[in-house]
Amino acid sequence: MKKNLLLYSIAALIVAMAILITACPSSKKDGVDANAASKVYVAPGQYDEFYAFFSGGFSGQMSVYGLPSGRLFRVIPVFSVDAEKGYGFSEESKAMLNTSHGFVPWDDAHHPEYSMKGGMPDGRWIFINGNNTPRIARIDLTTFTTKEIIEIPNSGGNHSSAFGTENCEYVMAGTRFSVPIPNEDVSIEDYKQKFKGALSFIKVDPNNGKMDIAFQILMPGFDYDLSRAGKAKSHGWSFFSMYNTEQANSMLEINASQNDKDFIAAVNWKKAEEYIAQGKFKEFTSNYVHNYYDENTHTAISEKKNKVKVLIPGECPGLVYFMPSPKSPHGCDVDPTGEFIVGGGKLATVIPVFSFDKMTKAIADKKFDKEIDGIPVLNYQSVIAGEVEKPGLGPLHTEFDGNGFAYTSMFVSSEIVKWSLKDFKVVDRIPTYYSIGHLMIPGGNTVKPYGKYMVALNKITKDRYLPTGPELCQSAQLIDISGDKMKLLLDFPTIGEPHYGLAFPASLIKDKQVQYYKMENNKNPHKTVKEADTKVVREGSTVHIYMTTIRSHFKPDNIEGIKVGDEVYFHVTNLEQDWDIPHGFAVLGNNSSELLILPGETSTIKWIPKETGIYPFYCTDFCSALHQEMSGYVRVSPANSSTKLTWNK
Amino acid sequence: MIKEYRFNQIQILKSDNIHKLTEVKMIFNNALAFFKRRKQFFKLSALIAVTVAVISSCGGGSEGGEFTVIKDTKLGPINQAQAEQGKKIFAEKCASCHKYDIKLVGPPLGDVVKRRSADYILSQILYPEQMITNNDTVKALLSKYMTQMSNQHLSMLDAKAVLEHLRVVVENGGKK
Repeated sequence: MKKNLLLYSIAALIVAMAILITACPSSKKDGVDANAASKVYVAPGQYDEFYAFFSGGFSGQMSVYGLPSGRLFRVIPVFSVDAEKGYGFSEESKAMLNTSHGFVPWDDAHHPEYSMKGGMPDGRWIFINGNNTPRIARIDLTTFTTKEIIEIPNSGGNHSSAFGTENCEYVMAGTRFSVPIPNEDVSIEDYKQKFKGALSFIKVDPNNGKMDIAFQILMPGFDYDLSRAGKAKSHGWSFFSMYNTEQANSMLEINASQNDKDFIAAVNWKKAEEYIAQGKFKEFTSNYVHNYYDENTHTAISEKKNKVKVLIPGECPGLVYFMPSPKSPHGCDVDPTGEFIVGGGKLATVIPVFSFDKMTKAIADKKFDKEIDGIPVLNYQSVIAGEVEKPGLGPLHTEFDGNGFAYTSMFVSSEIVKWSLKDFKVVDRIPTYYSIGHLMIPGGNTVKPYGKYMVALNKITKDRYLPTGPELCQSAQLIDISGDKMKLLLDFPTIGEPHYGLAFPASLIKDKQVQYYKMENNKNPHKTVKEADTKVVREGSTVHIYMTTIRSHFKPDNIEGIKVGDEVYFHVTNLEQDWDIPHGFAVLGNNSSELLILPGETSTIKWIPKETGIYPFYCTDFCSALHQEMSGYVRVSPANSSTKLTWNK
Repeated sequence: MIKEYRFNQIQILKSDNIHKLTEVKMIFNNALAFFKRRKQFFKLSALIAVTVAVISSCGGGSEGGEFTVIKDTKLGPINQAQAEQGKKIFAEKCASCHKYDIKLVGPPLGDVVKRRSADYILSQILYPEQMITNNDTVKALLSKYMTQMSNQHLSMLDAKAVLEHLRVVVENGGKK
């Protein structure tokens, strides 16, 4: 009897296990490599192989991750204020967010681009676009800070940006929304007559990265979506995808999806340089602001500008051609050889692959179907190398592994297809979870991709993570592309919406990091280089407090004689000269953020006390065993009081 | 009670190697008085063992044989020009934490050249991280001051200038 019970128990257990196994949601395991864990495991204290940079989308920032671990290292404030770092709050950093519309504390960052030399990342800078109030930022890869932001004039939304040329000659920008140029008060009904689109070429100074708008091209009033520069054989050309060639101004989801084919514009920017040199440009007046961060004063400076050189395609033959591309192309991605330009038609049933050689021949042979605003439209059959048949639904964006394969993201069917550049045949596909936008292969937009991994940048996560109320995290997925079959390795959450990303080997920049700012180079006008120089200075109702920090005290830390309504500036210099020793500064009740002062840096926060009393201030960034003691007091007296201005040394 | 008493003694001993001999004497005197009162002689042997262990773990006490990064520094006559430069550097890079005559964040340095070798001083200025890991005196000082000395990234030339300045300071009676 006992033996029977045992047998029954075993049988029941087997049945239960079988039910469990079959009942397991298989979707979550689809495509996961059996050795995935070991392939993404970076042991404690070990470094990742790649740096990865993802746009933060509507967070306005850029995040830095390690691959293959998917560990988040840093969020770099770019277009949005960041109270954690005092970015946009400190007096020194505020000017970074100035625009022709005044201080704009937020933007929508979509596409990072690295500076390149010979078509490969050189580890100097990353550029990224602000879509809403058209801007491009430059981030320095030795400090991981935003060094420059330039506003793009004559633009209604900077989406097809910030894509660069293979030697960082230019960073490009194209307007997503056409507007009257110059902007004016017109009826929206006059769209077709009055609205135009501008493509901008921003020159990058090879020595210091400083940007300047070299020229703009005045295009028909379409919606310019993405861009890519030619490379290798197609160096000197740039490609811009566009939709809404119907020129609808309402209900675009229907009205801008009528035409079978929209266009990819091929722009000969070397030709543009010739026209500029010949003076064949018009100078337009349009206000824009250019901000850059001075490394020695640790201070952002804004410069107002209002002139820009504009080329009109009808007056500049050979400058721009249109290649018809099926249904609202998004991606216009150039393969490592520079020969193929791949269109990602969001609503198309095929992926068109254009040939650069065929394009130049078609131009020479004048295989034009028609002209739009003086721009020749090339014959589709004359420029197409082939079409990838039945790729899936909603092809968006394509990158390359350097081994003859292309990978295209499929938004609608939530997958990535791998296809051959030899015969344009699909060889593999892998599902993504869910609704992939862009994808990214380390170096996947260069002449020699690093390959090995691919990251899917997804819009929706649904059931992939523990839920967090109505809003769920956005997500990236790491995929192994080293073999014939793509293998899913890892899901990891991202900040904001990761529109696009970049990655390169960590060795490119790992050893070039600035560890601290040298005090002898500190040229901030409010610096205090030694405690003996700390002081408090009253100028009418403005009070300047020249303060220092070192582990673990402020000097001065007792200040009296501040009055209600005073405009108080704490100019705090961190005297430390060592890596990873920032000090924080925060004062009770301030309508602002903290300061995070890096070693050797001077930062300033403004405070207007509104009531009398004693106000503590303290260091916010744990600095030593005596960090908790790193604090002080300010005494605030009535506006008409005679309390003497005193401080301790 | 006894446990606490011992701990305090060890702390004192560890915390400042400078006056080790007088401290050791003090410990023994205190201990003897304590044990005379309590007549708990069996504990004396334990205390001695602990004390010996602490002394031996603190290194030699005098500079000979202790860990330093910089070795065999030879001091000549004081270079006044260097000392002047050192005074300026001291004000900018050191004075936030060190005074000459009083304990602040770190120890007073007015007579540091009497307590420490030139190798020790240069090593502590230039390589505080290595010293905290390897030099027993520095380890003991950390347990007293609780704040690790900042690496202010001085050059060797600057560090030597600071040393020259400290040599001048001691000649002026440890104050300047």
